[in-house]
Amino acid sequence: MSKYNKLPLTTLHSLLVNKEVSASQLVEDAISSMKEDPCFCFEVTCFEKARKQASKITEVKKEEFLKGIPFVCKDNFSHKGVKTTASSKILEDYVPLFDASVLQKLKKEGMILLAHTTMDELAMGGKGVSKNGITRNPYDLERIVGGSSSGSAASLALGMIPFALGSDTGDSIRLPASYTQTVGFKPTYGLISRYGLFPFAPSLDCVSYLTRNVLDASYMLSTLAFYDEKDFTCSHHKREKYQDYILQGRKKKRIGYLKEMLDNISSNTIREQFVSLLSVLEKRGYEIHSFSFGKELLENIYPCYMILSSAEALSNDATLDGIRFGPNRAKDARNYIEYMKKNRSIGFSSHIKKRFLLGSLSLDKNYRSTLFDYESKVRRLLVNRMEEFYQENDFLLMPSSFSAPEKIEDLNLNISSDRNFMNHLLTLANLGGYPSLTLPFMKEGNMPLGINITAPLYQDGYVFSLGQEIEDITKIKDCVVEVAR
Amino acid sequence: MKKIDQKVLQEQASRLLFDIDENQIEEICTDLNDFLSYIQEHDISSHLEGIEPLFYPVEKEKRKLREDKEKKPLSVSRALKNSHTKEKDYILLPRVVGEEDE
Amino acid sequence: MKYTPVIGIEIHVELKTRTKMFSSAPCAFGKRANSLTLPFDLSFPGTLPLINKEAVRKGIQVCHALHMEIDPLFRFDRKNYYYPDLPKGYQITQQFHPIGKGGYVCFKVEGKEFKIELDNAHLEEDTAKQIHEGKKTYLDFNRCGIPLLEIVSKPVMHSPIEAMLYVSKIKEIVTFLEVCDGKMENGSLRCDINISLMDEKGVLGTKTEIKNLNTIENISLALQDEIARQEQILLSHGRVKEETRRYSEKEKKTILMREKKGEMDYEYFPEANLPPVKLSKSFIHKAIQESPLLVEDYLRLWSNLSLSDYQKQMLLKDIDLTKYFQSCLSLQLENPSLLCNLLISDILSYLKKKGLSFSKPNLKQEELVALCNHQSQNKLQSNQVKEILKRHYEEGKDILKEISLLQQNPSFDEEKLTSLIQEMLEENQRAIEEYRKGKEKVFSYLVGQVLKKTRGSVSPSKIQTILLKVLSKTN
Repeated sequence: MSKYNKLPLTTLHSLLVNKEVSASQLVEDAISSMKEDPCFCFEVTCFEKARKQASKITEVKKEEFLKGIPFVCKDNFSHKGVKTTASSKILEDYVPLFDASVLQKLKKEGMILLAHTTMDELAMGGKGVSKNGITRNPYDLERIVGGSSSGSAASLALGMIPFALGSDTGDSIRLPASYTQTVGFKPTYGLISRYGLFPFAPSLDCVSYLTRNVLDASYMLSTLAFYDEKDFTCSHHKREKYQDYILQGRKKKRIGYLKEMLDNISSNTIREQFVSLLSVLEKRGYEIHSFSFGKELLENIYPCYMILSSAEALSNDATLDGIRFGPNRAKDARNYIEYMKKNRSIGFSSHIKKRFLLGSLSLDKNYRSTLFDYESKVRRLLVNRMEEFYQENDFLLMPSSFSAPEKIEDLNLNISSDRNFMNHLLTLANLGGYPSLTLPFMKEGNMPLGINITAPLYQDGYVFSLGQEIEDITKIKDCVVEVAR
Repeated sequence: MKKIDQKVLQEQASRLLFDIDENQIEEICTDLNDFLSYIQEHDISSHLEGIEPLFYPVEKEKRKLREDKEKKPLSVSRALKNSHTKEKDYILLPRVVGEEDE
Repeated sequence: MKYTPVIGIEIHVELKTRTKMFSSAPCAFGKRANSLTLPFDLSFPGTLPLINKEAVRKGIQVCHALHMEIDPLFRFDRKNYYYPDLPKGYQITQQFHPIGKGGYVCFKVEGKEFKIELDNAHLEEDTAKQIHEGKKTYLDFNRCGIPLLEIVSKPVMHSPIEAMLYVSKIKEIVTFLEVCDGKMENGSLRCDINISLMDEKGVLGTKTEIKNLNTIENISLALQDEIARQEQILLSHGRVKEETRRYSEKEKKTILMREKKGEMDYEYFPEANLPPVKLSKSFIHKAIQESPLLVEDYLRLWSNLSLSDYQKQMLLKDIDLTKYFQSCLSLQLENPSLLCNLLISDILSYLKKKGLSFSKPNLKQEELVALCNHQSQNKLQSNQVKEILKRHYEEGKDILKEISLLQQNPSFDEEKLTSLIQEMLEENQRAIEEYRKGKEKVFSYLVGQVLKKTRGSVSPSKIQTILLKVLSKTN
């Protein structure tokens, strides 16, 4: 276990300012905890680069909040000069020529990047399955940590670093956060620049991240949410000091939950805990409402997400052919078709191929009207319903997951077997672009289970303030775990 | 919705420029068909009267077009750095038979 | 059986912007391969498109000139297919919401009016260049991403001439709007022609596509050959295959490039990285207001200048000449016709000789106007004007200086002229003898000698009259 990096950002910052610890010491502390990788968190490390960067930091001023602090990022952020592979064979030797905008910003702020973390290949999947193995849950090595920001969640939970960058397209930061007792935040779509984030589904992708507690998460948004002209989808909406929502106690009061969700919680403990939380919030002055979304609609979230994201992913990954970058495994190809085919056949796993085939079917002229076109309208319907929900409520509250994470031996990568609509409620935030926060809530058996807050567009600050309130109630924060030996 | 067979999948895969292992095609076919059945079973087309598709999560935003100002391009060596098949200043491919310069 | 050709044309216009459609890499030609790319053009993961404002402006100007309805909500889509010259695996284009819809183009030929209806115009990006040599294909991404405006006509043309003239008209429009240099031979203007034959019952046959035409003339030649080829097949009860063909100048016929295996499904869907942009009314209006003048605009401006149709036609052949002439008009030019003639004859031939062009003619408008005005005011004779131009282009002399030099010379009255002639004759005794013997040609020589002495400031006819007088006296 690290000595310092298990602490939250705010604490580490004070230590640095007061010269109780140096940036180099923090980096060594992180490196020593990362040397062993029991959960398979890392694709590539850049320790020497980090050490060099740290050695140049002689002092940290009070206003330099992130200077000297180590972090890790998911292996799908373009990192200049460092192999970035999205955990896929097809990008095995790709070394980018430029930095993602967020990495550039964090570097400018003095934050020190130590490694790229494992992820589901090309961000497609929620089980932590990558080209070289499966990332394990530090709370139980026999179980998955969820995905696709798997390594980021596991390494943060193990106390190796206080901050981990990832991405969230369907629930890829919030689900692993739920499974690791950490805080996972997906901001409003367009608040954080996607320039340099390897695309999965551009209409759903959000740069997201994990921290130890809600206050840390709010500070991070203040740094990461800047207008970037390199990303046309980046919002011009006013950026704020999001931590002020917590520090100044700015609150909104109307909390809603989905009636269908509550009716279908199979675990008594989860239901009881959730209801109990609602009643505590009510006592603290919040209005609690039940909202009937419509079960039929909720059951369409998953297919809507799968069809649309698979179609977009197929298109985005069409560039991966080994011609301009990526390994060339087709040295004996006789023409361009053979060349591209061989590289793509070897480079993609069969799960990815399945997603591509689904994407292709969705857009095929024989299926398009019942798949892509239909689901694009379903997306509108779901978002319209959410907007109706937001007429009466400021927040949507629900458990972030409804059962313990899958056991690795039972791992099922089938698309069709995941039919429980409850497992896909988090995706509503991606379909509508809403800000969404998962934070520690309880334990189901001995496995962590988080709670999720989703709010209307640009209400990110209020999400943090409610998150802080819940943290205050549960008293669960700054959690780290050591792997049982 | 028409059920998909393995032949259709192989054709699609070929068009998408990859091969599927023989021992995986059946599983993929079954999984996709099951998924399509799920979609059909939960069809809500009746609710979609007059509903416009949603393609962009944030629709109402002021956006600015890019000014027509040059940025320094990549040097030839950097542009080709990540490619494994190159000759002098070009990226190389085995020739497309019967094609003329376009 | 009589067949009617049904022709539709897609023209790709390479827009003359400084940077590419979606990236800030420079647009230029003939540069070292792969020296004009940015990460986006090579489709490195994580790169994102940014719409070029100037390309949009130029697109609006063209759509307006084509009488199209301009869509203020600007949207892009992905056209998905795999090909090595398409690095992203999709082309960003405007399938569902083109920038311009409808529209038409008119032109008159030998008194006959043509009106070609258009379907749409949309913005998209160009592909990389492929060079095939031996067993290899070389990829150059310099061209990849350059802005293209694709103008799609309705299939309403029925003859090779009509098709050729249509493309000429589009070329003229985009050249005058200064959005494209219109050079088919460079690939800055490309056309894909779709042609099928319709039988007497009105049934449309299979269409073929003709690409890679690099001159206007070849459009007509290729179509003539293709129509004949298709007719022959149909008349012998054969089946025309769906094909893409190109025209061979050497063999003077169309040649198969590849067969079309059914309608390609490009699986179009909206480009999520480029959400819709509302173009303001003022932006569109300003773009239109700032449009350079078209041929029709110039003809209107020159309608009361007493220029002949031939003169106007000659001026409008070259847009740089048009602009040069137009700028002369605003300098208090007295006789536009006179200036026009100088431009299209003497000056044009000097430019050709010196390898210059009307974009850089090495002749200031003020100077040329001064020269012309002097002639129209009878302060200079036409041969003096020509002489000055000659001295300017061949000896590098300054025009205004030469004008004042000639002006300084005293005017020659008859007495002065006579004495000058007598002086000349004394210097040319032998020539006089030759003349007396009957060699008429010597007379011109003698006139030339007087012209030299008067430094061209007296008209040759005047010299001739007086010379004759003197010669007859001294008989």
